[in-house]
Amino acid sequence: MFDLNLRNKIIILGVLAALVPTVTGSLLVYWKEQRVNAQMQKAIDNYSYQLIDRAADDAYSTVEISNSMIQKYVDHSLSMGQSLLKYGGEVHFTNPNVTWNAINQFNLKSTTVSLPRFMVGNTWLQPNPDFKIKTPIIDEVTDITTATCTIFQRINEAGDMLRVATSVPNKDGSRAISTYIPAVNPDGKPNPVIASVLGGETFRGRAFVVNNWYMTAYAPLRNSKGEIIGMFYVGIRRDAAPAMRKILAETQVGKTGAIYILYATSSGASEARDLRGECVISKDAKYDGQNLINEQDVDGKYYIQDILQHAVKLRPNESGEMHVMLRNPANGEVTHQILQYQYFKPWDWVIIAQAPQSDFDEARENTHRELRSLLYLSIGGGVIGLAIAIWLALFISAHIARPIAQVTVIAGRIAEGNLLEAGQLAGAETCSLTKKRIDDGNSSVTERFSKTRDETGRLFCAVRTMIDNLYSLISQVKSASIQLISTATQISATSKQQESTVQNFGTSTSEIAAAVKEISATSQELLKTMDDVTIVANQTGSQAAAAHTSIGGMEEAMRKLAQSTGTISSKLSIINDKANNIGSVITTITKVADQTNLLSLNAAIEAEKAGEYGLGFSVVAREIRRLADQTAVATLDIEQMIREMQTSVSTGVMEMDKFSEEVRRGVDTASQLGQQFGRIIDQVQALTPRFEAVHEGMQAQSQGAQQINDAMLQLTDAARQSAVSIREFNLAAEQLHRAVQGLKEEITKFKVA
Amino acid sequence: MLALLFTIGTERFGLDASEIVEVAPYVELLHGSQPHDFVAGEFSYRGTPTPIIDLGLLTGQSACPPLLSTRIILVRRASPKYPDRIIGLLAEKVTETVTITPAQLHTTDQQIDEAAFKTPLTLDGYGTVQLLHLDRLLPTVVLDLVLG
Repeated sequence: MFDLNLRNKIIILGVLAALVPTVTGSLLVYWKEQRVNAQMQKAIDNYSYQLIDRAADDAYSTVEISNSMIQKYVDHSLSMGQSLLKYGGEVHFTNPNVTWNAINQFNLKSTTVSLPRFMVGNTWLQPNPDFKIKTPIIDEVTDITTATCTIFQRINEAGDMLRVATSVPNKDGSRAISTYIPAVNPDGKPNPVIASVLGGETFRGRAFVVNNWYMTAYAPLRNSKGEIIGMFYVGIRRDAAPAMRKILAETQVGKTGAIYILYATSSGASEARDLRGECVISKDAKYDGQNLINEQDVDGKYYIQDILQHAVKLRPNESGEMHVMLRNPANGEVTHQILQYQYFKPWDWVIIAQAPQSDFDEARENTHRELRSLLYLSIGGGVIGLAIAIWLALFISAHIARPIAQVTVIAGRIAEGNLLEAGQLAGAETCSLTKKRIDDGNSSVTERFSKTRDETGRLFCAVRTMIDNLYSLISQVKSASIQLISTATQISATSKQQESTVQNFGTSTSEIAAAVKEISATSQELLKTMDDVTIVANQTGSQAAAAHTSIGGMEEAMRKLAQSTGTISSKLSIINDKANNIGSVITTITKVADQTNLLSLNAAIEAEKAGEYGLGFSVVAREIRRLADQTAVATLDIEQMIREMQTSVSTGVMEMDKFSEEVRRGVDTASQLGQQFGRIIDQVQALTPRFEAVHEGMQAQSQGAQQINDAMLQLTDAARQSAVSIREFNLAAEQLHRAVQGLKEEITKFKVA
Repeated sequence: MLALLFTIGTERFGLDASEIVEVAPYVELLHGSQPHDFVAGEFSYRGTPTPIIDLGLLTGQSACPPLLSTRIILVRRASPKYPDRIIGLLAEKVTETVTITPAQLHTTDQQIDEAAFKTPLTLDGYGTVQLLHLDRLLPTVVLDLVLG
């Protein structure tokens, strides 16, 4: 269906074989990419949620560990403190009383109470608000354990406990003595700490001490009678665990996300401060101490409130998830934030792990990029494969098609009769010229073709044998070629001669340059001569025109003469016909005369026989015979005249014919003459404007023209030499031509053979 | 006497008109079985087949050419074998008659040879004319040969 040669077909096959998988692979990769992208999105989303959740979990665990560790430390501190206390001696009251301005730590209402001195062994714990002054026992415990320590004195039966000695600082930096924990909280419920202690139990847990949450332990203090006269407190500020703070504050969620810890409620804390929504720990302590309860997302939703509301209902280690759109106040950018939150009930903390979704886009983008690069790689690989396939196809097709193409070319050469080239191509052995060229690449390829034993190789051998057989016929051609070579040598010699002539030309040119000044003068004369020539040319033109007119008249006359001659000829031939007619008439007359003569003879004879009676008749007969004789003579004369006339007429006709022939020639000559004159006139007329142009040019460029004119003479000389050389060259060329002709004939013979 | 003039070869002859039956134009002759070379042929004279003797051939000269003036002279001849027969004589330039006076006839000085078939006469305006003697030119032998 397509007219493709063998090589192109193979190439197309190879290219298609490479192209189809490449295109298919690329399409598959492209199709897969969409699906993988979707799956990746899902996986990354899952992963990101899990990551954030894990961060929340980790934070939760950290807090939990901290909690238990602090709790243990508190226990340790408590036992340490109790040991020191026991070492100090028995606790008891002694007189005189001390008046205390007792302040309820919840509602800050103060009442004045008078209480006995609180004694440890023999040491009185005097009211000491100054940290610079050591309070016995208390400061020792604090120094050893670093925990805060307080000794409470039971105010009344209800169990209000007054701080009489403490290492807990107030806001103003003084010791927070003379505050008391009421047995009943402001909400009317019994204070859990007081309740436990009065029950003889040690209270452990968080407690809002003065104005901070502490991990605490409260142990009852009994006198020798076993009455609970106070309680012993050790506590460690919960948020004072710096490692935990550091860990949490520095925890990074995703790429830019962080951990935020907020208070979920405000239960158990001071009325003066609403802790709900207050930030405990934030990244870089950015929001520490701020209340974030009224934070809004872009839609105006109070999302922190939602989180706190929901978080308190979560079980330990359960996570809540929230997606919010937040506007960055710095640049107004809206980001999609993923929040995972957990609730650490012991500390009433909501642990929020927050990370923008964009942090995880990178992974998706990486995947996308990887897939893209895979697509490009597959396309690139396909292109490379295609290139390799094309190269291979070219190579293989060349391997297959070239011998056949070569044979085709050789066959074409043989068909054209170009046996030598065919022999060269085929590497035929008898071609000596071919032998010389066997070294080049083409021939080596040929050698390879002929050495292979496949069809192409055998074909090649067959073609080669054929050419060998044909080549034996070329010997004649060879001899002709030798002649050709000698002729070529002759040509080269002639060309050398021409070279020398050219050198002569060079010297002539320099001579021309030298002769410029002399030439200038001559140029003026030449100008005059040119004028003369122009005049003469004009005269010649006018004379030639006159001659042309005359010739035209002559031609016309000659033509008329030719016509007249023709007329005369025809007239003469008419005369000749008439004369012939006259001849026939005369013959008739002669016959009549003859008959008359015969009649008169017989009449005379009869009259003689009649004797005397016939005398008169005989006279008549004689007379008749005489008339007949005269007639005969006259006819003879006429005959003679007619014959002469006919002779003259035929001569005249012949002369006329000759004449008319001459006239015709004359007419031809005259017309030729007329044409020649016409041409002369044309040439002369053409000459005149040229002469004028030359004249003008010479006037304009007088000197230059004269130089050239004079140089022309020398150039003419050189040209004559050149002409001689060229003549020789022509002779050589003729010989060459003859040789080529001979060669051609030989080749023609060869073709036939 | 009236004589018919004619030419045989180069000589001018004359024949006595009384011996002539008629002068006939030269016509195409019938060539039958000629008894002799000098017999030119036969022609039908008034229904009778008549032999023609070429006088040129008879007198040992060339045959008479076929011209308008070459005519047949019909003469009456008789032999013992063939009484009263007409014979044609072919001669040239048979166009004229001449009257020969007896004086002219007898002025000849020449010895008349009895055997000779002609007698030379000198006639004014004609020169020498040989008078032909038919009985001597055509003897019985010849007549019998021709007519037989």
